[in-house]
Amino acid sequence: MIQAKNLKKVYSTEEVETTALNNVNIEIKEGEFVAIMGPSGCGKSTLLNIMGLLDNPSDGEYHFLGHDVSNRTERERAQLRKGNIGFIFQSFNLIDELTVFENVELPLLYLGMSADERKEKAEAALERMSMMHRRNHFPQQLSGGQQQRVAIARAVVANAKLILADEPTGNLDSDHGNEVMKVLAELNEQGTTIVMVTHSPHDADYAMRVIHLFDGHVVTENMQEGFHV
Amino acid sequence: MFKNYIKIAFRNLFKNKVYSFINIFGLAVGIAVCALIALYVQNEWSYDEFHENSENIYRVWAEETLQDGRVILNTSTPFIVVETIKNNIPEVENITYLNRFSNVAGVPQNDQKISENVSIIHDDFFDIFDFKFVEGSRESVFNSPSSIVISESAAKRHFGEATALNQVLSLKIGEEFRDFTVDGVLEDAPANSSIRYELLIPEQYFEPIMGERSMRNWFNIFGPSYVTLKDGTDPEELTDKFADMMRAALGEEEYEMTKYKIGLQPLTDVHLNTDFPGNGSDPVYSYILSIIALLVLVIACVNFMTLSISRSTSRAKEVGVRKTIGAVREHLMYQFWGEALLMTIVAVILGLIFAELLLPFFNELSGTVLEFSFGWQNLAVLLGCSVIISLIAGIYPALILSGFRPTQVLKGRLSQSSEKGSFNKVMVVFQFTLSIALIIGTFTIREQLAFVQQKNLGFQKEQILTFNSGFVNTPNAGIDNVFASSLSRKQILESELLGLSGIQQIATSSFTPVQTRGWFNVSFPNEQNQAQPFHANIVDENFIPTLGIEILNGRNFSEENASDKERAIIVNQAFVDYFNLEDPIGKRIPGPNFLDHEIIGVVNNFHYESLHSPIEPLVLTQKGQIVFSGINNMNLRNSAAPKYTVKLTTDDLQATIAGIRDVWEDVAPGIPFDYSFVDEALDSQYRQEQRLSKIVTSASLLTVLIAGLGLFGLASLMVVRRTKEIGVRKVLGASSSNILLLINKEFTLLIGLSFLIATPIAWFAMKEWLKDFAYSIELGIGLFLLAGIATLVLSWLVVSFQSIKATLINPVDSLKSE
Repeated sequence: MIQAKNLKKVYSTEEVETTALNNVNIEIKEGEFVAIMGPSGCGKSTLLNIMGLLDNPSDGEYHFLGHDVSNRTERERAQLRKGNIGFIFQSFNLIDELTVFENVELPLLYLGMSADERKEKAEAALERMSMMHRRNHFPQQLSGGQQQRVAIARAVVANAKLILADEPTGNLDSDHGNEVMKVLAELNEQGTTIVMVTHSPHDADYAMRVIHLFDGHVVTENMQEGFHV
Repeated sequence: MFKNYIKIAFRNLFKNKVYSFINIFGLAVGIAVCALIALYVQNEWSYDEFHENSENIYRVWAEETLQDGRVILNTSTPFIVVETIKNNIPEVENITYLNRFSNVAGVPQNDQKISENVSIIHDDFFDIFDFKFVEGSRESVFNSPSSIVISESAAKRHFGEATALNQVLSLKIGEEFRDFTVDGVLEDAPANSSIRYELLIPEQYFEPIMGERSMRNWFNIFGPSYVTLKDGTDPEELTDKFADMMRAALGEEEYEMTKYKIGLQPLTDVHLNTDFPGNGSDPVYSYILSIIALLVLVIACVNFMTLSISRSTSRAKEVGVRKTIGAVREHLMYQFWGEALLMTIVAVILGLIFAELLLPFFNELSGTVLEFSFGWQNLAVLLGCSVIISLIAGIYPALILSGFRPTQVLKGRLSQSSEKGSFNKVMVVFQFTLSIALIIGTFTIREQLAFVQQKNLGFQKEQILTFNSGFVNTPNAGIDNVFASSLSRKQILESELLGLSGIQQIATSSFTPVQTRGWFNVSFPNEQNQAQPFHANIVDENFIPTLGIEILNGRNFSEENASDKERAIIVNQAFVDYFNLEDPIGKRIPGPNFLDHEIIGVVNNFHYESLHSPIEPLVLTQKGQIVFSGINNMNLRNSAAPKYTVKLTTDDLQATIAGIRDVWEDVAPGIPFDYSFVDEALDSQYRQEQRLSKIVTSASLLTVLIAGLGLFGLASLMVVRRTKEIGVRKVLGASSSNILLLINKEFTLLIGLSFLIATPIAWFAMKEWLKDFAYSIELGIGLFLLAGIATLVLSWLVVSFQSIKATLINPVDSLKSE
């Protein structure tokens, strides 16, 4: 599903040039659950952004679903992203002015679906996350765990093949964190590919494979015990 | 999708109430001002277009060249022009004059007549113009010589609510009253008509009123004439025919000497074309108003832009999320522009409500009687305006916001880029430059008006009353004879009035200081055949003391000196200076043909014209013939009919005036007692300037209000943005006053810069405006500093309101919020 060859990402400002990723080679197959770990500033989020087609690499090749997408315009990346990739963030990033239902419905709007279809899918996703009873609430009226479940519902509503999660439990207490991890694991069992950036070894345990990054390099790739590809 | 945008737009509108209020209120005020001024300008530019035939109606002008080479262009025409054109120019379909005279009229049974303007017209008047008949019809009017057609309001004045048709109205024709039968009532001319009328009578009354000679004279002008042309006639093509016509009418020799020209001016051009003399308005005022309206609107739009951009940080997350889940830039542009459109529509609706509410006030300001009328057309224009305003106000913020990169904003790494910051600064400077310039304008205009109103005019203007003597100059009577009649009446008045308390003195004169457009404006040729102009007034011996005019040299006219009435004149200092008279007493007006006379006194330069004009040479005489005998040209812009001027010393004006009225009704039965106070009448000559002053004052108040609101919003957003910085500074030991200074300093610099830009702009504009006055204030630095300091203090108040909030921030909270 994902092949990255010699990925390089350099951020430059007027005075400083920072290399965030250097010669990263990664391959992720459909159905995998991969955790990316490493200290702050090692390039985890940069890698996730490139995988999620939010950003272009400075150098190297990146293939997503068989397309070479290393050098696409923002518009082309947005087209490929729609419906294929779902995002989950540490800070949830729900739109405060929209209700739970409207937040979940939003990706379908940009896919141009009819109102009936949107209603059906959004309700199914909320049902799946056990959030139907909160469909008319605004994000601020929910607990952190509930907000993250809504965010997951939004990520899966369009049947994304790939879910990218950036420290999904970072803002949650351990009970709510575990709940979210269980939901992700379930999604993975149902066939969704998941790539997750995390600081938490506990969360990483849910993954089949852990990639360790350090200063923009892949240092180790471990298969977790009990998982077999 | 659209529904989603609308929903978000509305929720944002209500979530940020202060911000929405500033935007919508500011825009609404801007739109209200624009709507009102658009209404005014539309009215100005649509003058006389309500006649179905307006494109084909022309006003006749006449131009003659004087011996000294001066060219005089007149839109008042000689009586004979109508008949001559009718007989010589077949392309002319209809033609009429509108020769207007002041007269007195009333129902025959009633002794008490009132002053009315009577116009002598040709029958064609009713075919040329589209004034509607309220009573009677085109066919029923002017069928008998005693026909009169009157306006609706004249009908009310004389007959109240009763029907006016077939009623009898008495008018003074020549020396006697004659009865007329009303056979038509016309609606009052609409507000945007340059043609006004009250009583209309047929052309045969011209002769008894103006005399037989006036009917044939090409150099005596009375009122405007109007024509319509036959289909397909180009007025340009008539130029040669008019020339031939004039050559034949005047004879070769006189035609060559006077270069007399006749031409046509389109009626729809009359109101705003200041190249022609008349009572139109200067289109410059339309332009000034339009510019002011646009400025107020632009300042409101600028608020919209700066506040949207400052708020962009709080919308950034939404942009990031939307982009992440599949939105492209256009989606977001539409969304943000849509929000701007929504706000604009709300503002437009609110603005129109404001405009409707403010209309009476505006009408008072502008001296108009305008009304809004709403039709589908206006609705379309409004929608178009909303789209344009929302584009201007919304497109830059939409561009900025939609350009956010999701990878940046979702990590909270969005920083205020310096480019956006400087855009806002430029906009704030722009707003305050306009505000300060308008404030300077307001101060200057007000100071100049106070100056002209308080300026010592060289005569007493308080407690001086003037009114008509009831005697008018007629062609056969001779000006000096009419003046003598008025003097006899004055003596009767004097004997009755001086017994009353509060009345000090009564004077008679052909002109009073209220008539500020010049007195007898005459000239005689000197040896080099150059025109030597001066003004003249026929006065009695009370004129100078009644008005408290100072005698610099010599003496006043005296009753003891019998020869004064025959050969004495008094001149002003300007006369002495202009003609370079050393020892003026005993000298003559330096022209050969004047009757025997000598200068017996010199008075100070009192302002007998408005302060727009410098003081010109003046001759005061008791015998007009002294002046008329030696001049070769006279121009009259005011009536020379004798008037009385009464000096009062009273605390009870009402009673004194009632006393004068009683005496008047005995002495001059049937003649209206229409008095005016000199000081009030003099103030009204600056009406156009007073209007401008009020409008500029309102406009500058509004711009300052809107710009101040914008500053308030910007300051509040700035405090929010810098919460963390303020927290850190406080942790490091900054005091509250340090923080206050920190925030205020930034805005102070911007306002200082605005002041530097505004000052020269305002200086040039005001210098230009003051040129219209022969006597004006000096543009001092104090006025400019005052405007700058006022703006600065105001902005400090507004910003401090926010920055004090910032100083109260608890650093623990503000640092945690990051």
